[in-house]
Amino acid sequence: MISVKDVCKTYGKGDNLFTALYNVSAEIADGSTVAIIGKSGSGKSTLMHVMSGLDTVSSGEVVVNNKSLVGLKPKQIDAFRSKEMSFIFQSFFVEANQSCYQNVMLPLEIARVARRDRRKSVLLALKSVGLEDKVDSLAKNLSGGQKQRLAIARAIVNKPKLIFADEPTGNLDTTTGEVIINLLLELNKKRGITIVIVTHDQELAQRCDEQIFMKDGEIKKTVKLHPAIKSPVIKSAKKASQ
Amino acid sequence: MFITDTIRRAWRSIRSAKGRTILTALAIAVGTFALSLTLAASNGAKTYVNKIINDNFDPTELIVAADNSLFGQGDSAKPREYDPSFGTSTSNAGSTTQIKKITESDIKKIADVAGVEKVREDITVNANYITRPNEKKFVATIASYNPAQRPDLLSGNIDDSFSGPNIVLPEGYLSDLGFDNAADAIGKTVTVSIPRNITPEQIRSQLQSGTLAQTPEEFAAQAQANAIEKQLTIIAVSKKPVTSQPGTELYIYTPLEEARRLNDISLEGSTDFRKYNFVLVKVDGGNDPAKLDAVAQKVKDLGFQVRTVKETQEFLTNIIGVLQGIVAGFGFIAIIASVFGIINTMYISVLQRTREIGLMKALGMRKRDIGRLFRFEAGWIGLLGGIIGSSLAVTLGLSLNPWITQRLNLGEGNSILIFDPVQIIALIVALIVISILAGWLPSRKAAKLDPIEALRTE
Repeated sequence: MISVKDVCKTYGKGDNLFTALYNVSAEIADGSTVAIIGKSGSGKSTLMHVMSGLDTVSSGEVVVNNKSLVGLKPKQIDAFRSKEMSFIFQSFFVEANQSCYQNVMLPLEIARVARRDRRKSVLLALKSVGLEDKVDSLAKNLSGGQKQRLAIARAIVNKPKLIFADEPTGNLDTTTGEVIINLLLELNKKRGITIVIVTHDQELAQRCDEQIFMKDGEIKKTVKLHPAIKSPVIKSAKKASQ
Repeated sequence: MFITDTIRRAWRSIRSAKGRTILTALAIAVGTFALSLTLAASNGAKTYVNKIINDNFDPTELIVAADNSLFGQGDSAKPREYDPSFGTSTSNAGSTTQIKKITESDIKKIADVAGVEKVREDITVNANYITRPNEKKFVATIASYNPAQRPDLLSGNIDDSFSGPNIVLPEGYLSDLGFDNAADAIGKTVTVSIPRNITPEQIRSQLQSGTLAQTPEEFAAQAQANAIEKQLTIIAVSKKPVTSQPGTELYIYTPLEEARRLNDISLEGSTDFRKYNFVLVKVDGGNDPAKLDAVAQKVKDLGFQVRTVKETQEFLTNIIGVLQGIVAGFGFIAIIASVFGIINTMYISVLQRTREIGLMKALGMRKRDIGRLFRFEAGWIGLLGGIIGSSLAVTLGLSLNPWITQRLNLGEGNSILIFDPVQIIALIVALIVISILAGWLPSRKAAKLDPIEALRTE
């Protein structure tokens, strides 16, 4: 569970003071899918950075999986991040000159996973995104959708409880984006991974359990769909759209 | 991240930027090339000097001279006060100078020093020629035999009883003097012509008979006629020496007693009669450096210039060392220049890979590991440069060695470039360390990068 309480984040000083987050409080339940929606500059990315410990808060409290990130040393936050969470980005950030295998291996190396356990995990992760036949292909030879699937494999290889996805479909066409979203939601359903998606895409947001609308650094509205209602409705809508 | 994982990741990174890596490594390779060759040349030269000295000198002997200019210490541009012991000396460069020489009475004084076992002169006699019946005449130099030398013999045998009018003939004379092979020469005699000064008696009788030489040509002819021929027996034939002092390859060796006789004949009536450039003083128990030094000090106290074989060796290797130092200096400059190349390359690499760094940080990679990743990349470049440079040097050196040996006339089996694997490995390790140090600043920049900023880079 992620709990953000009264978080403020400011940059600069004096006249240049810029408030990126103002008194933001939110809770994200384990195993849920949450969309953070807003225009650029609304603070949605900053909120994600704060939740993941990539950025510090000016005031307030951030608790992830019962651990308060405020006041932790960078080293501890790094170790925590390498074990508990992962990321997917709009522009994939896959290592173009390295093979899919090496790309997916990175989080395992960072988390100091024993060498003998790595290969199995990597192959499994690649299989779950349907890239089992691309193990030794260089990442630069993949299509955009494949690259994002590779990024997803990299995100799940270390079995995190939490995935942050920053505009995961932003660089993809509608059809490919759809595949990626389905993949993410499937991971959520099958493995219970909490997924936080930062997006300005309303359609994508509507498929999540919860939507947090942001504007000018503040949460304007939180929409929670009751799982019992949401599931059948969304599912049928998805089927219809395909 | 485990160190080994970081090292492997670093290797993959530099491999994915081949052009940049190779070019940076080549800069290091230039310095490595120069340093490897310098080290090899230094090894070779030192080995060669030691070989020459060990093959030509007895370490229990002191080299004693009356004049410090013989040891390259005098100032030849400064006039020296004359005394009757001065005589002429011809340097290897061909210049004839006057130097203070060791006289018979000096030898007596030195021989009386406690701890001196034996004093022997180093004698070379410039014969007019050596020949055999029905053969041409060839120039020759006869030298006193040094028991420490032990030349390789093709035929015959030298033992402690080597004495009398006998010689060791160098292999080079064999065919010119009409011998079929080395064994053929043993026991045969050769004729050696020793020049002789015209004696006062001869001049007196010529004056009386009115046949005194009037022109330089007549005088030369008389001197020629004055030379006497000696019969010497070949008891051994020496192999072409591998490590002789340059210029002594064709020396015909004869026992010290015989050399003295011939020398007396040749110099009688001249100012150089029974004067020597230097003498060799054998020290009783001279294998003990303390005894050797004690005797050396006593001889020095008598006013002579003394060198031990070790000092001579050090003197020669010091000269080599200075030359090596100069070349090595240029190698170091090249390496320092290439260090800036590494810094530059690594900075560019950090800039180009901002997003990768951001991603690694987002995935929880620690600052320390990111710094290491970039330092190891620099280290890999250093290793590559080291391997390229040293293997080029080894390849070139080994293939040029025979040619250099031939051009410098070093004698078969001697190489001027000797590569020591330990040195080369040490050099490469040093390069890796230097490269890692060069990667320090860029790696700090990478480690300090703000992941949020880095991930925003599009």
